[in-house]
Amino acid sequence: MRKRNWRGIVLIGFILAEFLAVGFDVAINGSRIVKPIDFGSYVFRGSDLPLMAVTVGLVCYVVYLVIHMVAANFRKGGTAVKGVTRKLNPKYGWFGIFGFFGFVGIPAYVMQGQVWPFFFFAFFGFFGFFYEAKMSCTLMDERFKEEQTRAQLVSYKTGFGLLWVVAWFMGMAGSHIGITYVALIFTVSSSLIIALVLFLNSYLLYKYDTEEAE
Amino acid sequence: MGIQGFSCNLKKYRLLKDMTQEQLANAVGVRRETIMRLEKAQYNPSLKLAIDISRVVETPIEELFIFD
Repeated sequence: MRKRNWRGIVLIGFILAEFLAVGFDVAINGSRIVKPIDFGSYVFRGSDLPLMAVTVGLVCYVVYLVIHMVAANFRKGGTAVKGVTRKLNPKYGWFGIFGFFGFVGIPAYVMQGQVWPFFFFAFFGFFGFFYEAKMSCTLMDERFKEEQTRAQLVSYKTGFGLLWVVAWFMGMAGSHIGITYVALIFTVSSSLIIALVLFLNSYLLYKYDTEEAE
Repeated sequence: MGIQGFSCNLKKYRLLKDMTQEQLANAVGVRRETIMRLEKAQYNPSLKLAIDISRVVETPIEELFIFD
């Protein structure tokens, strides 16, 4: 079996272990770790260890995979040769899935009143790597640069337009809905706008480069 | 569909020089797709690219690129 497959199996193993550890914490440990922790009065117990250890292991392993992937990309010539677009593995596009972690913001807000997890929505923009990877190692001639500028202009215009609408709406309604909702709406909308601009940059460049070429 | 008011005779003169799109693209430092778009009058080249192409196919710019 290839080394790459082992990495996938280990990752799946960590995810399953995380589910088991959460189940253990909820069923046997009284949800001590799953529920929000008051660190002022928290006292460690041995039964807290499984979920803590598995979570730390999972986070470390994901960080290791990301670093390994980036390093491998550089080794294979990921750095841009002058005048040519960088070589990018299409697998980077899957980082966009981290955008779904933004939905963690809903329980986090309901239970703890925190809004920062909504920022994960910005990761949706990484889906644009699928399109950037398709344009890997492309000679950046004058037509490419023209299309790149056009794609950037359209995506930034779209982003700023949406940001303007959100800012205007908040300016009008902010005093009525309260500062918490203002923070919530701004975090969600600005994260989604960042994601949209990142995605559009890559998608539109690919679209302009391939359309009408038949 | 090409750019309105713009036509291009590049294909005719390129074939007269017995060159492929790839060869012409390499000679002027652009992608083959750019030459393809030029020949279909779907791309308006810069002055520098127009001059480079004109030199390679040894044809005056006015005969290669025609603006109404």
